[in-house]
Amino acid sequence: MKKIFLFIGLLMVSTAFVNAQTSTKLKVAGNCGMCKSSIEKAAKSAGATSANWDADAKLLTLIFDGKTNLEKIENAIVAIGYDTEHKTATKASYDALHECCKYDRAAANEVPVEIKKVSLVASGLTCSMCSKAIFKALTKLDFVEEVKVDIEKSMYIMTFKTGKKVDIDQIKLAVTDAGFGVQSLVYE
Amino acid sequence: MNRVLISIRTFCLLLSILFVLPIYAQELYVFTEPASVKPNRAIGLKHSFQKMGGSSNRNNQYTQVQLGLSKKLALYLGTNYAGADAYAQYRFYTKDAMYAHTRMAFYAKAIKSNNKAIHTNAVLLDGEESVLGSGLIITQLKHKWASSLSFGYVQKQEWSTHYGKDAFQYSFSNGLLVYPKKYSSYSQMNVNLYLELLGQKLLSGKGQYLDAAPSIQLIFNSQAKVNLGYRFALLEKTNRMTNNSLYLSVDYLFFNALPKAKQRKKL
Repeated sequence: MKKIFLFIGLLMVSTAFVNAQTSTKLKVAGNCGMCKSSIEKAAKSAGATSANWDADAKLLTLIFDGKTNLEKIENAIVAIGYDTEHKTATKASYDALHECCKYDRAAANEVPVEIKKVSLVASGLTCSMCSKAIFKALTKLDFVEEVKVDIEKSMYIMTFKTGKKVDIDQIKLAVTDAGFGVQSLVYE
Repeated sequence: MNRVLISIRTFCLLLSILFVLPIYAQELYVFTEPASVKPNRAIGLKHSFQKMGGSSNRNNQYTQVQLGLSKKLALYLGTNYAGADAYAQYRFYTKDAMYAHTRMAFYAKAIKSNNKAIHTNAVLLDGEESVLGSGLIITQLKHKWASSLSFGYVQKQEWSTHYGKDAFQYSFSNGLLVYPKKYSSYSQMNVNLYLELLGQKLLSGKGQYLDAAPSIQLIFNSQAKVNLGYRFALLEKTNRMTNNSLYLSVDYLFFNALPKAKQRKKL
C-alpha cells in the first residue's frame, strides 16, 4: 500500500514539473545592435531559453518553458528601457538608454491605421470547450469578419470587416471575459 | 476493514493508471466545481438524474441554471430533492500560462429543503435538509495533470441535539482527456475520465465519510456534456440514508447569452 501511495506521489510531482516549450513573437522597440544585445540578454535573464530580436521588424522571437511567462520577460525588457507590445518602459529607464538606442517612442507605439490581421495566442486552457468560449467571444465582436482557430496551439487568427475600426483592447477583453489570458498578440 | 482496504487499493490503482496515460487534463468535473467559473455572459442548463442505492432506493431529478455573471462570478440556481438551492462562486486568484493555470475561488451555497428533520448525523447535501455552506477551491491545470481541491464548512439549518449540526466538507478531483488524441475541430466528440474523492468530517459529534466517484464524460460540439458517474463509500462512519448512487446528467452551455453588464444595469 505504501508503495502505491509513493508511486502516485512521485508521479504527481513529476507530471507537475513537465514544462512544455512555448514559442512566440513579441513587438519590442529598439534601434541598433546594442539594443539587440540588451533586449536578448534581458529576455534570457527572465528565463527565456532562446531570444532573437530582429532590428528591422522590431520583433523578438522567444522560446520559453513553464518556469517563466511572457509577462516576466516583458517586465525584464521594459525595466531596461525598451517598450514592448503590452508594456511601456518608465521615462527614467528610457532616459538611461545609450544615445544611439533612444528609439522614437511615438513611432514605436503607433498602432497601424488599418489592422488587417491579428494573431492571438491564449493562455490557461487545454480543452476544446474552453477554446470555443474564446472563439465565440471573438466572433461576437462587431468588427471581426472571421476567426480561424488552431485548438492545439490555442491560436486565433482574426480578419476584420472593411471600414470597421479594430479595437485591440476589446479583443483582449473578449479573451479575459471568457476566463483566460492573452499569451501573445501580434497584428499586421 | 478489509473491504475498505480493497476499495482504497482499487482506487489507487485506477488513479495511477489515469496519471500514466499520455493524455491531456480536464477540469470539467462531474461531482464538484473547479475554481474556474463559467465564461462571462454564458448560460448553462443542466438536468441530473440520481439513483440512490441501499435502503433508500430513491430516484431524484434536478434541474439547474448556471449563469456567468462576470469573468469572475458565477451563480447557479436549481431544484433539489425537496426544494431549491443556490450556489455562487467567485474566482479571486488567476495565474495563467500556456496550457496551464492555477486558480482559486470562494464559494457559498444555500440548500432549502421542504423536508421534515432528517435523523442522520451527516450533513446531507442533495436537498434532504436545509443547509448553508461556504469554502475555498484551488485548481491547478498543467498539461497532463489537472487537480482540484476544495475545503468548506456546511451547517444544517435544523438539527436536534442527538445528531450532527455541522461538518467540514472536502474534495479532491482529477480529470483527463482520453479522446481525441489531437484536436482538429470543435465538432470532435471528447471523452473525459474523472476520479473524485468526496469527504465529510463531522464537527459536532463523531463521524466521517469518504466517497470515491469515478465518472465518464462525453462532450459534443464543445458545448454539450453527458456525464455518467457512480459514487460509493471508501470509508463510512456516519449513518447516511445511503452511501452509493448512480448519477447521470446532461448540460448545455449557451455562450454570450446574457446581456452585457452595462445593458443588464439598464434592465
